[in-house]
Amino acid sequence: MKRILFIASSITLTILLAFDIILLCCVVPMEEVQQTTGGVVLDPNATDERPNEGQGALPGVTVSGFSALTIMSELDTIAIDLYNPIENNGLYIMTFEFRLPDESEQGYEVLFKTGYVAPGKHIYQVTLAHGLAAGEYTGQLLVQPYRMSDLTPTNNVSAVVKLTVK
Amino acid sequence: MKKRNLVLFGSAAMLSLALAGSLGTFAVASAEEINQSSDPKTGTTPVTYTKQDSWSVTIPESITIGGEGGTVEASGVVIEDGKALKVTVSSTNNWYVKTEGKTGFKYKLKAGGTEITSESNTVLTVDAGTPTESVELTAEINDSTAENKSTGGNAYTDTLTFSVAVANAD
Repeated sequence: MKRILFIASSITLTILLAFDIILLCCVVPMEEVQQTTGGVVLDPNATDERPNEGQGALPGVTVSGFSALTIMSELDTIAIDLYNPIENNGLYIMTFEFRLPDESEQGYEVLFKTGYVAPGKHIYQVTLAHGLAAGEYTGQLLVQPYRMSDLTPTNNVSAVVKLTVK
Repeated sequence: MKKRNLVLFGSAAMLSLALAGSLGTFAVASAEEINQSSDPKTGTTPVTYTKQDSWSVTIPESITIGGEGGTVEASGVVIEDGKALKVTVSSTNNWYVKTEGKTGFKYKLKAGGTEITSESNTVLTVDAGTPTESVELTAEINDSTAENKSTGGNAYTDTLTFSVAVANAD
């Protein structure tokens, strides 16, 4: 009798255990049960909120500049400090162009223009298109950044520079 | 005769010495040298200090209309007392975003919520003594024809130029 009871209990426990395993693995969870209500299966990925595309605000371009420059008259090579800040590392290279207003059709002449300057690098000397007579001039230093990824130009900075020639 | 020559020679010698002595006495010391014979025993050395204006401006590389916009920040501003750093903005396409061969769409740019126009285009002013200032820029379409038009998948663009100048503070 005891043996029969033991066997019956074991069988019952085994059946219960198997049922639990089936419930955990194979039965559709309650929320999925709701999405299938009415016979229409809804995509669980559908949502009201646009996901973050990962870009966020685009990085800014840092431009370092000055408002005054003094050079010697008639020299066509001058000392200067044109700097692409290290903050632009991996993002932007830039060129520097100094313009003086004149009567030409475009309204200015280019006194000097650099090539691409990498982030963290300086240009300490430039060659002018020509020397200048002593006096004071108002010029523009145009700083044009380019994306390192594809060399497309970004927004740019034009600094008003008081040029003193001694 | 010999006595007379000796007297003359001695007088000349003494006169030379006197002259030499007077030159030594009346020598004007140079600005760089003060010595026992200098009169007065003072000199001057000029002290100069020169520091050029400098600043950094961070601008948005681009701005998306209807998107997040961007920040303009002036930092490390070192300018003369009584002056101010002024940042203004201009549009290459006169406030139109365009693509090749198309008319484009008019848009408006705002700095800190205030609309920028060709007549009123200051985005930031930083007074001397203030090392850092910033402002948020946003852009939105300003074109009644845009509502029922698309860009056909093309990117319509404009380029902003930020001008930086140091002038007398208002």
